[in-house]
Amino acid sequence: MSDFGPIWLTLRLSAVTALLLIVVALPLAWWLANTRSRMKPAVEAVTALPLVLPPTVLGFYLLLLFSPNFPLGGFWLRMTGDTLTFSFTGLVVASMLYSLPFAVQPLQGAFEAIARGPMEAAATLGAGPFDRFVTVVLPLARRGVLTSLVLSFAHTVGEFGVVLMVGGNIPGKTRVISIDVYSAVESLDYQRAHILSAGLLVFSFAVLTLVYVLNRRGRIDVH
Amino acid sequence: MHHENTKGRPDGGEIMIPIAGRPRRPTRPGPFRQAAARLVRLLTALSLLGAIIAAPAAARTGDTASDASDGRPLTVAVAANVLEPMREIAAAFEQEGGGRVNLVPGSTGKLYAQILQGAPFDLFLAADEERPALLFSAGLAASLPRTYAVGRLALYSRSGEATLARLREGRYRRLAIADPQVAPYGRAAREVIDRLGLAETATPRLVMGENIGQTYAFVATGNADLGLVALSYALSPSAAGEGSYWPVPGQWHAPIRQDAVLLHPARAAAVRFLDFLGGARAREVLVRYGYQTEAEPGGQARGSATARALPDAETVE
Repeated sequence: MSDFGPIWLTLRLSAVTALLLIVVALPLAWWLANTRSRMKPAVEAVTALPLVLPPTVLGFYLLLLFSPNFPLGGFWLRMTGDTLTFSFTGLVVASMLYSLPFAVQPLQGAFEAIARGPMEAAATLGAGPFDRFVTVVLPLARRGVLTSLVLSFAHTVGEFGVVLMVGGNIPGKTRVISIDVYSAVESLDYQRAHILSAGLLVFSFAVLTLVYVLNRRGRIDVH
Repeated sequence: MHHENTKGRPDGGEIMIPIAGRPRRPTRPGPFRQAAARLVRLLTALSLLGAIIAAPAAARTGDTASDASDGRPLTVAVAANVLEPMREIAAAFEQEGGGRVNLVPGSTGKLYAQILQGAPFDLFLAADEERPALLFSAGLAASLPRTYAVGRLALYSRSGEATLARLREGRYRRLAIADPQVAPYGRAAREVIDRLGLAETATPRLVMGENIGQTYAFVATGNADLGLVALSYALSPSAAGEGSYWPVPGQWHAPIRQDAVLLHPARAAAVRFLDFLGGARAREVLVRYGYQTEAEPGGQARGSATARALPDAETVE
């Protein structure tokens, strides 16, 4: 097995997704943690949808949404000259949707656990809302931020169904590890399937252990 | 949480209501009796639950006993390209009293791997002759492979005309083919591309479906503007005459001979279905979907089926 393309591609996809996702998830989670809007349950439900929807449902709708026959897909094609389907960008968009709950929920939990005291103290000292968010909230919620990053990265590594449906199995662009394992099994290349699968198993175990270690440290600090 | 309930209740008297019955301690049952009562309740609930579960199960046993002559429905693993005609053929088979048929579609490679791992299929309708032969030599087939259809490839598009010129001149964004590693129609597509000397222009723009059905979906949803799919899709009612297609000459690639094998344990109903597949009614369906069929096993060639040639180029509006 000399082809490391899928491994590199998977890591790149997961890293880009996790970084972009945290940018989206921070304000969304902050809003969810503090809002009294009647819309909150609906927004929370939408955020959690990828947890319960089969990836095929997400993949099917993305296939339609990305199609040049639909407004979004058509607009994208005119702007960039390429479709969102079968492209790295398209996979990033799909992965961000797919991993959204894994980014938002740890952040929301961390934000909700922050006491009002430090925030009010910072306000009294003249810190504006953004200043308070950066200098008070983020440091207090840093474990939530880290968990969110690690989980959305890991969950994207484990993505399969959505990529299968919108990716098109293009080497270097959309052939990620999970797709490669699937192809390898289908073409009876069990050796390649074994190597990639065992690698992914060890990696996932390491990531989850890291998450639990982070969480335990968090608890010790609080008490 | 802090001040919600104080408004409008200046006296706050509602929290002073005494809880009746609290002081009557002696009448409370001891811990042993409590546990016994709980056990009795639990057993009653369990037996009720058991009755609920057992009732339909008993009814089901009755069902199977009465159906024993027909046996379980047949489970047929079907290469995706031939799924739609097989639906029609299975319906005709059922109509003629052959029994129920469940079709399990997938790529030939996937179905083959599943059969190697002991998937409970009675019959395998592949998209190539290689994998049924492998199953036979591995001792997993209960019959010699038999060609039930010879498939054809078509260039297909939902945006603009599907013409050879368009493929040659590279007037497309994406060309969808099935994964040549696992799908015979993908391998045939690859051969066509190589034969036309288009590998350089086409390869960077190839997108691959896991099977030919997914490949068709890429084109049908407009995500790929050109594709090499099984002719059966372009001709199927689900394409509803939409799009434009051009049948690729069959001699441009190794023939896509699609073989069928019986799997162990060979069931009588599976043998009947395989025979039905070689009969006139099934062949009429296959031909309508653009497949060529072989002469009947008896030896007498059926001119109408084999000789039906498709015109070189056809366009559906």
